[in-house]
Amino acid sequence: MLLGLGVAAALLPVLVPDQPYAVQVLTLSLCSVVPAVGLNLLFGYTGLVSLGHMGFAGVGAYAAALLMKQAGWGFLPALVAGAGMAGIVGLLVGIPCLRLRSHFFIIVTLAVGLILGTLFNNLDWLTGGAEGLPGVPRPRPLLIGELRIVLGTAVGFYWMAVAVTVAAFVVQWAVVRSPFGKSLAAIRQDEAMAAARGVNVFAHKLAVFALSAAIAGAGGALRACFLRVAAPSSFDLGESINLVAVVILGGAGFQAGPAVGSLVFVALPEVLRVASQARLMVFGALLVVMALYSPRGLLGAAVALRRRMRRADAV
Amino acid sequence: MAFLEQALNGLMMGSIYALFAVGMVLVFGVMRVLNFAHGVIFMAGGYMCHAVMTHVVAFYPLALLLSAAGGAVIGAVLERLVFRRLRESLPMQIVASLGLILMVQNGVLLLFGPEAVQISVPAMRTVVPLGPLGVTLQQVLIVVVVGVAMAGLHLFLTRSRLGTAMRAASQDLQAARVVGINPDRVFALTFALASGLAALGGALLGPLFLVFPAMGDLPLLKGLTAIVLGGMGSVGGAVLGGLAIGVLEAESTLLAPTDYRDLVVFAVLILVLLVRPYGLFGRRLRGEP
Amino acid sequence: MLFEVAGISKRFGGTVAVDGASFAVREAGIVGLIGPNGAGKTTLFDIICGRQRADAGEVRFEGRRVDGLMPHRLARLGFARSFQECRVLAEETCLDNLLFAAQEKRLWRELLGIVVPPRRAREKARALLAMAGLSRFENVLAGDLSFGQRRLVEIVSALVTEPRVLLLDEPASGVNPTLLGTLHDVLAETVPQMGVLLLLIEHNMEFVMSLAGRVVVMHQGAVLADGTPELVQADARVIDAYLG
Repeated sequence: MLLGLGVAAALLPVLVPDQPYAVQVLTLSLCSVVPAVGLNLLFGYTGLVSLGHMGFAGVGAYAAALLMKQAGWGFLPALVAGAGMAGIVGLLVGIPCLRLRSHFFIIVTLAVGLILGTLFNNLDWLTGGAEGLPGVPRPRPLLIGELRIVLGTAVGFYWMAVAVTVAAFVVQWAVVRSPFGKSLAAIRQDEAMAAARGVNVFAHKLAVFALSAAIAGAGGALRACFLRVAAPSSFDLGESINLVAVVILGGAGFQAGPAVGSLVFVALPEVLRVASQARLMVFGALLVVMALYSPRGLLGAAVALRRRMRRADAV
Repeated sequence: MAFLEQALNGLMMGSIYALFAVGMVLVFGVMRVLNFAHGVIFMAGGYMCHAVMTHVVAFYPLALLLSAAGGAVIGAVLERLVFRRLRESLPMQIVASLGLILMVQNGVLLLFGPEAVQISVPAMRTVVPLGPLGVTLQQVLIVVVVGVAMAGLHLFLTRSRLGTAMRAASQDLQAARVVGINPDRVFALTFALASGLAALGGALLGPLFLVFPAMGDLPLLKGLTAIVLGGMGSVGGAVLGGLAIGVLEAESTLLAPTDYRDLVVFAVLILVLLVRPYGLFGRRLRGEP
Repeated sequence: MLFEVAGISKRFGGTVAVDGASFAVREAGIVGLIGPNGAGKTTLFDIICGRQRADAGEVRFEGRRVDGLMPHRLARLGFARSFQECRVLAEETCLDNLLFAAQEKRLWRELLGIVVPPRRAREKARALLAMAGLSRFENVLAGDLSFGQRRLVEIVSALVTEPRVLLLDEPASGVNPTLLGTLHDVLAETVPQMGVLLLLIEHNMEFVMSLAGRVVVMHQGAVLADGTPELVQADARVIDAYLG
C-alpha cells in the first residue's frame, strides 16, 4: 500500500501535467505528512501522546533556515542538521518529562509546545520574531555526474518532498519491524510487563521521543524551504493539535496512517467547497464520531470492515 | 505599588483559573476524563451572558445565573452523548475534545462572526477605591462571586447527599456502586456542575476582556496547568494552583516582557514537576520515586 | 549460595507487611512460598521483583545484592516473572509473545541490530508452545485466548527467556483443572531441565505440594517453617497459622 502511494505520488506530475495548484497543495500536505510520521512512531506505536510536536518541527525549520541563509548550506545538509537539532531538543525535553505519569506527560508536552512557540515568536535576534525568517533560498540543482536535477521549480521541489517523505516512511518501516519497534509496542501494551521482560522503558521512550522529534524537525525544515520562510504560525499550538488529529484520523499505529490522514485532511476541504467554518465544523464532527466509533481511524475502520465482509463471505 | 497592583490583577485572573480548574479536576477525579473542550463551554458562557443581556433583560446577576445554568445543560448533554463512552481512553477523550472545539468555535464564528462582542455592565464603570489603588467593581465582583461559588461547592461536596456520592465515586467507583450510588447519575451531575462553573467563569470574564470564539483557550491551558500543579486529583490543589498561576503571571510582567508571561507559567510548571513529579498536592503512586 | 533473602522488612504506615523474612536457596529447583492471606508473600515478591524497596534487609543472587534494582536490570540478570493478574501482549499473536520475550532488549543492541538469531528463537518458541498444547493458537492474538490459556502463554514466555530465577505469582488461580494439569507438567519438565530456580507463590496447596521440593511458609511477615512438603504439612505451627 505504502509502496503504491509512493510511486503514485512520484508519477503524479508526469501523468497529470500542468496542474501547478495541485502540485502546490500536495507539496504542502507532504510537509505535514513527515511530522505525522514522527508522531505516529511516538503515539501510534509507543502510546505516548505529544500535544506540542510541531514545536520540534519548528526547531528543525529554524535551524535549517538559519543554516541556509546565514551559512550558505545546501538544502539536504541543512535538512539533516535541522532534524538533528530537533532530535537534540527532543532529548533534552524528554529527559525530565518522560518520567512523569501519562496525564502529566501530555500536559507537559502541551507546555513544551507553547514554550517553543513563544520563543519562535519573541527571540527576534534569532528567529526574526512574528515575521519569521523570510528569504530561505531555493535548493540548488543536484548534480549526479552529468545528470542535473533541478529542484528549484515547483515540480522539482515536489519530487524532493516525495523523496524526503519516502525516507521518513522507510525509517518508520524499519523501526516498526526491528526489535526496537517490538519493544516499543510492548511498552504501549503493558509497561510493567515490558520492564519485567528486560526493556529499559525510560531509555526506549527517550530514544523514540528523540527520533520522533528529529523526523518532525525534518518535516519542519521541508516546510520552511518550500514556503521560503520559517514563520512561527506554522509551528504553533494549533498546528500541533492538527497534527494529532491527522495521525488519529488516518489511523495511529498503521504505517500508512499519516499519509491517509494528511491526504484526507487536505483533500476534504477541496471536496467540501463551502465556507471554511462549516468545513471545520464537519471535520470536528468527524473527529467526535471517530472517537466514539473508530478509535483506530480510517484505516482501522477499513480493516474492521474488511474483516466483517470476509466473515460474511465465510457464512 | 506596582507589585500590589499586579497581585490584585493576578488574584482576579487566578480566581477565574481556579473556577475553571475546579471543574476540570472534578470531572477528572470522578470520571477519569480530561475534557479539553472545557474551554469552549467557558466561551459559550460568555456568549450566553451576552445574549441574555441584549435580548432578554439587561440585568447582570440574572444573566450570570442563566449562563451557568445553560453551561450545566450543555455539560450534561456532552457527558451523555460523548464522554461517558470515552472513560477508558485518554487519547480518544482528546480527539473528541478537539472535534468539539472545532465544531463549537466554528459554529460561533458562523453565527456571530469573528468580531468580539462586548457585554456592557454598570460594574465596569464603577471604580472601587482600594487604598491608593482603584479597581473596577467588576474585578471585585469576580473575586467575590468565585469565592461564593467555591464556598457553595465546598458545602455541596461535604454536606449534601449528592456531593458525598460524588466524592465517594471519585475515591472508589466500585465501592460506591456497591453502596447503591448510580454512577451514571453521578457522572452527569459532575459534568453539569463543572460545565456550569466554566460557563459562569466565561460570563464573569466577558465584560472585562470581551467575548470571542477563542476566549476559552488560555483559561484551558492555565486550568490544565493548575490541575497538574495541584496534583490532578485534589480540588483544593486545583484552587491554589489556579490562584498561584494568576498571581505568578501577573507579577512576571514586572520582570519580563508581557510576551513571555505564558512561558514563565509553563516553565514553572515543568520546574515544579522536576522536583515533585506528582504535583504540589498529589500523592505518589506505588513504585514512583 | 544461589539465592538469598536476608532479613527483609517492609512497613506501610503503621502496619508491618514483612518483618525480617529470611531464607536461602543453595541450588536450582522448585521452592514454594505459601502462607495465609496477609502473611506478606506478595509484598516480599514485589521486593524481589524490584517493584518496591525494602526498608531493611537484602536480597542476594549468586552473592550479588539485587534488591532495589529496576525490573529491567533484574531481567537482564536472568530473572523472569509472571503477574498475579496475568499480563501478556494482548495485541500480538502467541508466537510473537514468545518471540518478543526471547529477543534482545538492550537498547544499543536493538538499534545496532545485534539480535538473537530469529530461527533458533522461533524453534525454541514453537517447542515450548507445543509443550503447553498451544500449537493450534500460534497465530491467534493472545488477547483472544481464555484466561487459563493466557496464563500458559505468560509462563512459557517467561521460560523462553531461559531464566535463572523464575518468579510465579499465584499461577494456578483462575485456571481450569485441565489447563492446570498442563501447567503442572510444563513446569515439572522444564524447570529441572533448564536448571532454573522457580519460586512459586501459591494458594492451591495440591499444586505447590506436588511440584515443590521445598516449601517456605510465611506468617505475619516472617518465615514460620521451611522444609520438604511432608515436613511442613506435618508442622503444628503451620496448621495453627492456617486455622487460626
